[in-house]
Amino acid sequence: MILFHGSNSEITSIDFARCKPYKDFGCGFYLTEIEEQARQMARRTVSIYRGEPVVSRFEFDEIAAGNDPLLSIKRFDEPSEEWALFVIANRSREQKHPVHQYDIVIGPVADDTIATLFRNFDDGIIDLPMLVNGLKYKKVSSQYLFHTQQAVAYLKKL
Amino acid sequence: MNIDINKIGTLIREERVRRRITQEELGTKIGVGKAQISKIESGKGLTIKTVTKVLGALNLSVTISLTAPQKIDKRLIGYVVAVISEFAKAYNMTIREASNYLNRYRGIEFLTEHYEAEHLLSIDDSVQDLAQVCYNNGGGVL
Repeated sequence: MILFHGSNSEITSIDFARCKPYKDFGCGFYLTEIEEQARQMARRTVSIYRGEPVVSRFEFDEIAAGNDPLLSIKRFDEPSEEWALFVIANRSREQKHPVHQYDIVIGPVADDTIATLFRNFDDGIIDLPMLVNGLKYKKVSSQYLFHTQQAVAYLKKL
Repeated sequence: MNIDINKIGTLIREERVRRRITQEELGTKIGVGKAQISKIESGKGLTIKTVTKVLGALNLSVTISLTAPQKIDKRLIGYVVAVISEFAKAYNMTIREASNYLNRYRGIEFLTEHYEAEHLLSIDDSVQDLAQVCYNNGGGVL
């Protein structure tokens, strides 16, 4: 499958030293299956850090990755309680990082309504069951995190 | 330059300051007092006649374009409000100080323009992005 990454320059090699902390699935290289989403991210990045908006395309060999016994892949099919706690832990600035050892994580992107739920949960306004209830029936897009060098081996730059 | 019509006072002030003219000097040119210029600059009691006079004294003219207002997404409003309040918390400002700061250094403009990307990030990330954007535009905090 083809995945996209939007940035302020062409990605020629994936450099983990440049990843930002406290992202949804931890520090690493993020991609999306929706090209428009990558384009919007590229425009946003340019607006903050200058440069040129570029969407880099990669072929992800999902089958080969899935068959690699040394690779651990975590997949969240929908915004569940497990997913929510995972994202909250990764976004936390108080927790020790990394919070997980997966090579690849695939799962939903939290949007602003979910961010508001997280915020209310953080502030103690709602409890975990209420948070999980709020996540139900939410249509969300997916994001792909490549967390390690071994994972990146399954990405081919197009 | 595209700017909202109710910002014309601010625009006049910026231009006057840029040219290092005092409110008094500008007032003298069109036969009004300092207080009147101050009023115009803060957007009060503006009439087309006074604006034209002031602009004439600054050797400027104004062009108008009529455009339909952008439809504002309710979710966007909620998001902007949340981010302003978190920004205030992060930088020890009151909500009012934070909104003024974010407005002045075009943080809100950034947030509305890039909402589609920003709302998929955490609120903390948006706060950080805003700080960087405002800093780029001349703001003092980072």
